[in-house]
Amino acid sequence: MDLMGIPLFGVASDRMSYLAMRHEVIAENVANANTPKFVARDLKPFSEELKNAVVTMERTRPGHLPISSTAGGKLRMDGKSQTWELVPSGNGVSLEQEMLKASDTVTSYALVSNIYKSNVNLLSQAVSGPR
Amino acid sequence: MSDPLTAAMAIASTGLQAQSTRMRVVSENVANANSTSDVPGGDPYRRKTVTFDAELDRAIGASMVKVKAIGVDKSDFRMNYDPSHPAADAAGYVKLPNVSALIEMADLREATRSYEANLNIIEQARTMMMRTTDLIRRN
Repeated sequence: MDLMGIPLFGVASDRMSYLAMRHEVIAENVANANTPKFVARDLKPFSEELKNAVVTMERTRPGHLPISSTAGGKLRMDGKSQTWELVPSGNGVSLEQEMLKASDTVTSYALVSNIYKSNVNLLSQAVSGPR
Repeated sequence: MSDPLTAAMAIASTGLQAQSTRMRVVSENVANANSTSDVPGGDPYRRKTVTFDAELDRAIGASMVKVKAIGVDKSDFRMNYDPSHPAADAAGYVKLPNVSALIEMADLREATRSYEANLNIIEQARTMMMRTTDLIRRN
């Protein structure tokens, strides 16, 4: 059985990889917090990525093409992400803003991983019966 | 493509490295704030500066930070009238380094702040990794 074929697991793992990639982008911003002419970047919101995911037919055989997923690393940068400040050297990274985004990422990740885990528990309970 | 969380840690560690180089240069400047020349009329210690540059790491596909160059501050030296000083010129003036303690302290504060931000990113990436590995733990 393909666990990712169950919509909730698929979306949860997509969300988790989205958050991991967003954390990487934030790390880039923070590392370059004092680099001249570096402007902070961000990913497009997850809801937009979900909208763009193509709905495909169900796979009934392993030879069928896989279902689309945002986890393939083709996430796009948000062109119009707003930065809070621009210093004279041309640097547009606000550490406060980045810290806010990073903590937001971590809490969302915790939420999604808990949802994932509780669904695994649900499934295993359905399989094994009450213990 | 490498794991984004590992990549985030690698990127943040280049940030740590760059900021600590900056702190080293600041401490050099502060330590040499009064280093004059030992010959009459000679130039004293010149303040050093650090410039950062974003560098694309091809293996990870992300911009790391690196120290582009350690340059020198070309501003004028401070002149102090002190004829008894061994480095005093014919008119009795001594050239003092162009180091301002206030600027160095401000620079040091900024470096510390950025360093802490990078540490935070590593800590958070670690938390996220732990969350992922916790998924295989039974209950």
